[in-house]
Amino acid sequence: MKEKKKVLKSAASGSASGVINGFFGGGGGLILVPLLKRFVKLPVKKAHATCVIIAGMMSVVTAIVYLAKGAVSFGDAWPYMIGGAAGGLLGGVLLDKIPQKWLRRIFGLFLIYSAVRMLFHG
Amino acid sequence: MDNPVLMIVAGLLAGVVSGMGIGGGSLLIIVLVSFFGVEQILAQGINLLYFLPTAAAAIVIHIKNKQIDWRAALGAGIPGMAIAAAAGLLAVQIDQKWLKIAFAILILLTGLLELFKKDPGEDKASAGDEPH
Repeated sequence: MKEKKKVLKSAASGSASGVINGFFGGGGGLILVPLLKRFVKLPVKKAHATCVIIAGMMSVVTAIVYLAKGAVSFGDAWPYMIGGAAGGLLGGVLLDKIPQKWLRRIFGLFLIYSAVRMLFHG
Repeated sequence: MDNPVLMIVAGLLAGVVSGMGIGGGSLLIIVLVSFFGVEQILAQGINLLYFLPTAAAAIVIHIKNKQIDWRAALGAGIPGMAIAAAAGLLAVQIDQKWLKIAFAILILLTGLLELFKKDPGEDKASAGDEPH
């Protein structure tokens, strides 16, 4: 019964995250990680790792939609894909080694700065 | 933006962050739209394609480290995929101006949350497997 509840809570979290990830082509992890931690009660590292695989599943189907609708092509994306594959490998290794606290503070400041820039500079 | 070296470096940096599970997806979209002048929906599409090898690489490491909770992964992933596909269909059809404004509001809220999170030490405390 407890496991069933966990699946239901995961389904609710995945659905909420799917709205964001599908609509914005990413960023589902922004709400998925806190939901997996606080709502599904996964330990921190497992929440982060599990988030990556869920976001991956959602991104595959959304990518198919975008490609089918002609919103993007592989020609636009290949350099980022090469850099991203190497970076993802590095990030997976570093997850065990780098304190998240300051990384998150810096990330938060960068997001606020970028949002203001986007809203007021068009 | 037509310099492949800069594009690869941008992908690399965003990949490190998203490999750690810290919203690196939003990071690449921001760099593309705000600094490289790419249209919002194209930036989102690039981000989707870019994320796939990034995620695959990170997932291999996480599986090796036994950090994936499969019940949660499938429980969230299956309904998440259906809803993400529907939301994606909506995104390719609406006015780009509104898509960009909505995205800016999303990252503004996220930034504020990250910055003013009550207990920044919580990550370590609840991990439970860190020797002190």
